[in-house]
Amino acid sequence: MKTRTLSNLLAAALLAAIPTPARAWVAAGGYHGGVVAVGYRPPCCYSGAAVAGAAIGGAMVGAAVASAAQPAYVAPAPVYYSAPVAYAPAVGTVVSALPPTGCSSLSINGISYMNCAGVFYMPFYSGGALMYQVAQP
Amino acid sequence: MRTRARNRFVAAWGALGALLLGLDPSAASTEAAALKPATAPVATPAPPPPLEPEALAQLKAMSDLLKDTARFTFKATADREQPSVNGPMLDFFSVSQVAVSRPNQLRVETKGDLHAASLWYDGKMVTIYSLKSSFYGQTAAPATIDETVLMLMDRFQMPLPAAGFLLKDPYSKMMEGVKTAFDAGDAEIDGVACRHLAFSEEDADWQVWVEKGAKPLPRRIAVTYKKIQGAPRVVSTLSDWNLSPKIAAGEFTFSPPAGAKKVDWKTSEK
Repeated sequence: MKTRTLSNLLAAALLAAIPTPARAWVAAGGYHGGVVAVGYRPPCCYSGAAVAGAAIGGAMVGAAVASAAQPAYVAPAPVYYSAPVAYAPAVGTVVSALPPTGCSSLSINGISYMNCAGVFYMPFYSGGALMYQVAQP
Repeated sequence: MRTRARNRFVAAWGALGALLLGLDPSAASTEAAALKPATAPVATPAPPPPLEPEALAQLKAMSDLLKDTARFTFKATADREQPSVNGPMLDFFSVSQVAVSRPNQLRVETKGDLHAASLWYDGKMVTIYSLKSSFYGQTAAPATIDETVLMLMDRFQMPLPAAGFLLKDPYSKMMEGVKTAFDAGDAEIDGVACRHLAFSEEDADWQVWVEKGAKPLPRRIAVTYKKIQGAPRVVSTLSDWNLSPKIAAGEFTFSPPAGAKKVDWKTSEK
């Protein structure tokens, strides 16, 4: 049986950018840094480029805080935020929820997508949750 | 005169103290020496050990109970704090029904806002499926619950705050990296009398509430991530314990609902 080191476990749960070595096990159990940016909802009706900028800005804030000389760290990218409804997010954007209405599923070349008013989302599981990435099938 | 009288008084008590301590009373015969014994014999309690035996014993008793139970079910009600990019901490709640059948079957049915995906593990495959969707992820699984749980946390970065209680020896795994442990006293959870145990590690503090009496079940676990900005906490309350459940055959094997599609299940890059 292959044994996994505790460092590996904690690192997996807390994302890669951890400044101090991790040795513990329980600590790895509840926290998943990958969805650290949940709850971010860009203001309505910006252009798609501005939305992408907002997402990147969030990641940069995380990176800036992480690099500051302080013991606390935040997990950097990827940035997840709730799906905007009024405009098209940029390809590659990852969201934790789809618009509440107007979506239908389809399969292209064996890959599943959700089509929400012409925007294609590719579903996948990550960190114990279902996520969607805006795609150009 | 007053000073002299007091010194004589101190000298007398010093001599008595020295006698009681089994020392040579002549050592207290001068006034200079007489001042010392009056303050010396104050007993200071030894500082508690970093790992209090009583706290470890209670965690061990909890571990031994679960270790000796072949099948069990419980409900886990979790609250996870996660910092949002625009500042405030957000709380995400989920409720899971957990079924364990040693050594190689596990089922976790979860409802919640963010972490709402359920798990099936039947000794061969492990499946994740959000009941609100028509998509599932699936992968080949190791031969035991221990290996599968560790794989899910490691490669698949799944947040499983109660994972320690699913393992074949919770104590040995949970104690890895623990620097201090102490018994924080009595507590009550959902009307059940518990002992409140506190542990600290390099990057996190965690607490476990263990039921008092013949069935030392874990009733709550709370973890604080000290080194993450905002020090987010995860609290999971464990209830509805059943140590001799009837679990239907096939409960641990995923059968895709009509129309469900298999999608990618991302793993961490290594």
